Amino acid sequence: MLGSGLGGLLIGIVENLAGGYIGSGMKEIAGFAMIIVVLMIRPFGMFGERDIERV
Amino acid sequence: MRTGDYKQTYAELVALMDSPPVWLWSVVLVLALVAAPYALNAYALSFLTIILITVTGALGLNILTGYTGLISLGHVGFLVTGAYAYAVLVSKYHMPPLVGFLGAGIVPALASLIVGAPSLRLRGLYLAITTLAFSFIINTVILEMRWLTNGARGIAVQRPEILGISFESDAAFTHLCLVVAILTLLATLNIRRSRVGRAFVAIRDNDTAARVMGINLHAYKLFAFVTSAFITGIAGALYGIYLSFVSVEGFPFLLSIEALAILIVGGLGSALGAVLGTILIVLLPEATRLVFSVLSAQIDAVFTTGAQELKSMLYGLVIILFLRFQPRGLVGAWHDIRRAWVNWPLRY
Repeated sequence: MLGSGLGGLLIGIVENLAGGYIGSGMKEIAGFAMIIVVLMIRPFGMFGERDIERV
Repeated sequence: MRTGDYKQTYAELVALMDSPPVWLWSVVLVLALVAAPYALNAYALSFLTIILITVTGALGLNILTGYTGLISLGHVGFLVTGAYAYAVLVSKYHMPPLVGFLGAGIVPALASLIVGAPSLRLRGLYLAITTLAFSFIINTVILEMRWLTNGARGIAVQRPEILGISFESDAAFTHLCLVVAILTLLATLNIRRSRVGRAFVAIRDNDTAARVMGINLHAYKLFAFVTSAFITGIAGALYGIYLSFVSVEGFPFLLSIEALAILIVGGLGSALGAVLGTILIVLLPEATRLVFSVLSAQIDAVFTTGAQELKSMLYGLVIILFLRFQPRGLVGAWHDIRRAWVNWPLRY
């Protein structure tokens, strides 16, 4: 709940800031770029919990 | 009449085709395809060309999604990179077409390293989202790099002339696509039968178990990405030549969905499935149009105006129907028919 709310806000802000400061083309891909960055650093999401896989 | 597959040696397990009649019919099919451009009219020939190009692309995706089990929604990104690499090299810098085709393979392969590296840690839905993001990012990058790609204006591409043979005419170009499709088919079949292919399938079935067996997950996943992107890029170059004009609009996101639909309809993880699926998916919108145009002229008009929307609807419908009634795809149906034919009138 908290994660999706904050995530939505963050994506919106980042998209518009990127559109304003970097270039209008960046507005569309800023969200996607963020997905990739977040998935690289924390694959379970910013507020998700790391699940430990037992073999 | 064979009654089953009896493998007694290891060599039989990795044989390309397991019986002489299969070889015979394959040669007959290839000869028929070589002769086809001279017998078909221009309309049917365009479908044959599209099918051959799509087979190449679908086989490329099949290595990644079918064999290795990594779902990619971003293959249109590799397709468009390959097309642009060819267009820039050949039309802009006047390189020979063979260099263009090599570039059309290598540039997407390099791009796939960029998208593949972060994907190593991800699975399932997350991987699909990352590759989806990649295809949109690629589109924007191409539009922004105006000095190289002409931005939104696109690049015109001529039909190539390779080793003194001109592929200017439609029939010759179909032959070029046929050669590429057959080479790709042989390459994917050989990859599947080798150590690498077995590693891919092990990763698909259970990557933890594969790792325990000593398969280097990172290396093989990246290898799957690179191979897949290389083949898809070459298909993209062919598609660009076919359209005779390369632009971002020529490669809509629907192509990614179409490629996945082909694999699901054909049967995941089977080269034969990719070929059968391509034939069905490419001909489906046209066949539907023909059926409905017999019924009334108004529906025919709807098909011309809303072609894209109806296409995506049809793909969705076909995917749902296949997942519900024949999850193993056309290849599964073919195996069922073959078994029923051999065992009739007994059930097994």
